[in-house]
Amino acid sequence: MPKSIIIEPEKVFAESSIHFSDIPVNAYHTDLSAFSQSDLLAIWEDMCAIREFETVLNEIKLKQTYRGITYNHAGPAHLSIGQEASAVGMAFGLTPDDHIYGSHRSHGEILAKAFSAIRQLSDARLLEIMQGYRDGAILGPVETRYSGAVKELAFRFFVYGAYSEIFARETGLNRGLGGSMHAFFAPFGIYPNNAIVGGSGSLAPGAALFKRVNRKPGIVVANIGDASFGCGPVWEGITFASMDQYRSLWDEALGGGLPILFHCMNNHYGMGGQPCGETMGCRFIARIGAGVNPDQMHAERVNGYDPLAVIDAFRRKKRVLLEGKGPALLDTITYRISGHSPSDASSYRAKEEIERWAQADSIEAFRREMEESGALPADKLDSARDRVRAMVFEMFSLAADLEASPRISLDSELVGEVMFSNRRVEKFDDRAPEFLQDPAANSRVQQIRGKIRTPLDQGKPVPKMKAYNVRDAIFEAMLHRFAIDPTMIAFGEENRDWGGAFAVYRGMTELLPYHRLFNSPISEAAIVGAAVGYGLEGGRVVAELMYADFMGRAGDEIFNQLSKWQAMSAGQLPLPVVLRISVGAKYGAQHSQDWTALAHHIPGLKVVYPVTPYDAKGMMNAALAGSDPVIFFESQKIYDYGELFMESGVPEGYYEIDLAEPSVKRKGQDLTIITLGPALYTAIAAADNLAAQFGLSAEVIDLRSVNPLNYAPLVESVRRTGKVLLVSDSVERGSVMQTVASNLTQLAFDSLDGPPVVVGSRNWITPAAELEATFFPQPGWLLDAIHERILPLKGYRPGTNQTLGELARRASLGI
Amino acid sequence: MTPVEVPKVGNTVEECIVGEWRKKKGDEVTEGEVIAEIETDKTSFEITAPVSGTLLEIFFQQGDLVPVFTTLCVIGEPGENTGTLGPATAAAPADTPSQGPIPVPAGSAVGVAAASPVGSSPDLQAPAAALSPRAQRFAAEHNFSPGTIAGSGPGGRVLEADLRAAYAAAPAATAAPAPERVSNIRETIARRMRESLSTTAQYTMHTSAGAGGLLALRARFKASPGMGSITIGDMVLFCVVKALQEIPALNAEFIEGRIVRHTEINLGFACDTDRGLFVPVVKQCQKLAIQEISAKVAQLAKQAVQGNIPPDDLKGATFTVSNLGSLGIEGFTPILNSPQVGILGVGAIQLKPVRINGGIALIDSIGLSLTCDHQVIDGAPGARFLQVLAGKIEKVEELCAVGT
Repeated sequence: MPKSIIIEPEKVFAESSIHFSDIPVNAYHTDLSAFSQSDLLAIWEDMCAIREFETVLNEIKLKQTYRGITYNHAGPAHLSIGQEASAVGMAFGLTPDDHIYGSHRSHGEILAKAFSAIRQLSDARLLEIMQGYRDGAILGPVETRYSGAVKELAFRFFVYGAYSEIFARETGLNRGLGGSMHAFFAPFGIYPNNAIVGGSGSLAPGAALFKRVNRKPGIVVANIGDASFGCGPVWEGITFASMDQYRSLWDEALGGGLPILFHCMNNHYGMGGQPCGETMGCRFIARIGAGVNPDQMHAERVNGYDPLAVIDAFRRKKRVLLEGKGPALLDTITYRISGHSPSDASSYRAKEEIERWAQADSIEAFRREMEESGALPADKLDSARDRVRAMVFEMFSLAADLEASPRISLDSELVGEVMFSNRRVEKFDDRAPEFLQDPAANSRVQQIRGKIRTPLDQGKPVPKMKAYNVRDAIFEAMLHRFAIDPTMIAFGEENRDWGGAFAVYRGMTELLPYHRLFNSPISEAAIVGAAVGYGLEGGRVVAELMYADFMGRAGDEIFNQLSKWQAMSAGQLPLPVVLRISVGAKYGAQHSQDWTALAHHIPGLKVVYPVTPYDAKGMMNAALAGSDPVIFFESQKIYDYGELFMESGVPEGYYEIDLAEPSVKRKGQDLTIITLGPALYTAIAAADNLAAQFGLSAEVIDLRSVNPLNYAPLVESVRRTGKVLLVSDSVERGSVMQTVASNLTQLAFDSLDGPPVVVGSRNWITPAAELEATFFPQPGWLLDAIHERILPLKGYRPGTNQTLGELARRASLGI
Repeated sequence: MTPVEVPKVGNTVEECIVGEWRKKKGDEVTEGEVIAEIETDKTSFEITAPVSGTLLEIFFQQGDLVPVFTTLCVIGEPGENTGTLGPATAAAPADTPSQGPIPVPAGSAVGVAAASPVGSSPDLQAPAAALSPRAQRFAAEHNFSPGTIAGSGPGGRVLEADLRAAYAAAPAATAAPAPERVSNIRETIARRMRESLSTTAQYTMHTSAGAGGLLALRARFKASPGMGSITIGDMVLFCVVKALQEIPALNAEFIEGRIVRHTEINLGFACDTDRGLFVPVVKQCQKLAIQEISAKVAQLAKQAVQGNIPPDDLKGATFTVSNLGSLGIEGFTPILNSPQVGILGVGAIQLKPVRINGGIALIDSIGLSLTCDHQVIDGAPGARFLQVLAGKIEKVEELCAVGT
């Protein structure tokens, strides 16, 4: 919504039409002169090597044995036999600076990219990479058995690392934690493959964003299949990648449109469904480009069975991208002879079809072309093929050998150790952070300077407008890190100009250039996906979801991508992503939900929910100094609350709060109330009531942290009081508080005078704002629950039914 | 931090009772200093600090029954966390039938406010007046079984505060004293006495012996240096030794159907202490002169009373003597110190009329009650022993003159 772009009614209503230009299909004409003999030999060798690699896997899957080696591969193997030419063509013109993101069927792609990178890197650099990668863990078994040229050693290194990874060995590229569908090797520009169909479609734009923002060389290629264009995240990724603002609003010097190529490996099938003719309507994926932007994403459809055609297409697309005219879309026609997976009986395609494609085999076709043109003689082709086959088979045997290539032991804690990286990273790059103005001159910064940071101002409560509030706290923490880490960016819906829907970012528009703070489309999957891609490339990013209710829109990106890449990469890739999620209030059923339980349940996420300015600033600071993904929940109920607990106020300087520590907000002796989220304030009101009317002193502890969580202060309190009630605004069923209550029962059983009691919202949709008191926990509910289940209060009449009978009744009705 | 464990004092000791704490929590202790007493079924023992430091935590109180090797307390630096060293749960001693479930009439919940709203199904609440875990722990820690108690928790649940209140009010409230748990020693005595009576055929014969010689000898001893502390009882013991030498059948034990005759005469003598009956043993009395016997008896008795008699000095008796004369008992039926076949009870010295030279004289006479095991010793042999013993006692002056 930049005011600079005016929507003019007259223009908008004028008659006109929308024009499209033709999209080329199979327009390549062979030009062998563009290739040296060694180029052509390399293409041939790489295709043969990939074919052998996949054939080995196919054979052992079907027969458990291959050329004398018996091996039972228990994991997945989505093979790409037949698609070699597309993979080799893709990788030929890419450099190690060009990053590829793949799919579950990307063995060929990563091998091709590795071979290509190896040929381009110097021997010295290759040795450095191989020796340095996990201290030579992969190189070790290979180099004891080979003492030839460095390049040849490197080929073996990679093939061995790939097989090891597929066989879940410690000598694998991801130490066996990624497997066939998640393998990667960053030094060669090979970034993670994704088992989620189209997963790379929403991550790769973030990687391209990283290159653009941080002025890194190279392009990003998302290798995804034709059926993946049925996935929302892919469309959102395309939308995110093709935003006008990159060329119309961002600093021209940055380079323009995102350098991303959506490369559709169009093998005509999803698992078994056929996009062309059955499950989709576009017939050619390339057509989609025409609908996205005036450039039609430079879309083309090319013959993926001719490696030279693919090489040519990639050359031209890469140039377009480096000129800042991206994104681009390539529809590469190919076909897989092998099934979707080893359990595929190919009941969905005719045997005749498979046979015809086998006849059209790209490797044999290339061979004929080489022989007929005289570019490469038959004996050279044969000897090259035998050599690479032998090399691949040798590496397969080595990887299959459990002694040479062991697995981590069954009682290893490795997975636990790599779930979180727990590192401190002040900045991910050394350049000077970019600002549009001196932060000291910023109007918001100045406004905050005039605010009162303590609970009281000369003994009196601070009026709302003068209080330094939760928004200000988040702003200050982000500003601190913006000024240190040049890679740090933030984006989300209405972040720029509007200043964020809840005014957290007010003032940042004047402070930060577009590339550090911009509006995303209404594409939650792309918002989180791009954040993940940006983080994987090594940049710090704060993405925002306007409402917790929208987490569903970004479900895969939060629960399958953001939470898992650190562990799936065996700790090799950090994810310094903070996802700010705002919990709604007074906005009805689809805009008022507290979904902390979902983030709590899925492993791999740090989750916090501060509700005071002091906590918000300290925890945001800590999140922004770490290397782990943090879900940072905020409550719309209390953005304008000042600091009511920390008597000394919120420090102006920098400080961090440990992300696992609960906070005792009020000390007491008679019972413990544990809270999460704005229910803290509800609990304080209840505690005041308990003291005034019943002479009971309640200790109120704010969890602040959902995961990880240090139980020691909670246990200490419950051991003292013997009575505990837990409350949050999320619905009661499956809430975080149920887990805490259960653990406290274990940890403090003999100290308990009664069972821990959980109070939460009704298991309903959220009603309208006027009726919220029927839904959200009220102070009276806490007293009712205490009275019914912990300690009857003298002369008290409960207002709501908090009895055990009611609990059971509701459970049986599912409400 | 250093945990201090209950040692295994004696081969058969499995558990001990905690005695008096000489130090309290928070006190400074030095290495070697006595910090507490513990009591086995035979003796008591001092626990000394293995290191210097602060007594951080005490896990058992006086009167608690604790298995050997249990951590009794912790010595360390202030501030150290002793949580992991204590007992996993503060378990009540296992062998106490008085710690049963506390009966509470339903509906006795005091302090419950207005009735719960409709919908509180009774079978979801805990059984009436259940104790919360915290309350149970309080009860265990304080060895407190209060009987009927009202709970102030929901549904009449008994909370810690309720027990605490009852505990504070307990002395005045209870009409009858709670049954007392017995000490280890008492339990041992009880068991051995029962076993003795139920596994032997005991009978007792009473006679008396002229005590003139005893009295005269005592007067003479009092006037002799180094002999002044020899008592009537010592002299009787000496005479018993001589009698046993003459009639060795009584110096035997009946074990698993076999008579075990002893050549050594180890005399056990009953000793009354605060903690109960102890029977120290003077070994090899046949080799001892009367003053030696007397000294030994005095030493052993002192140790028994103080509570630090070595366990070995409580073992190995071949015949036992129990003297209740000083308490005015004329005659009684001592219980065999099984598996010994005989035990002598000694009564008070009284005036007794006898015929002498056609007339009647009144002489001092000491009561003798001999219990024998009829499985081994028939009435006549037993009686003969008593006769011989009486004779020795009447001629004690000669015996001592010879034996000095």
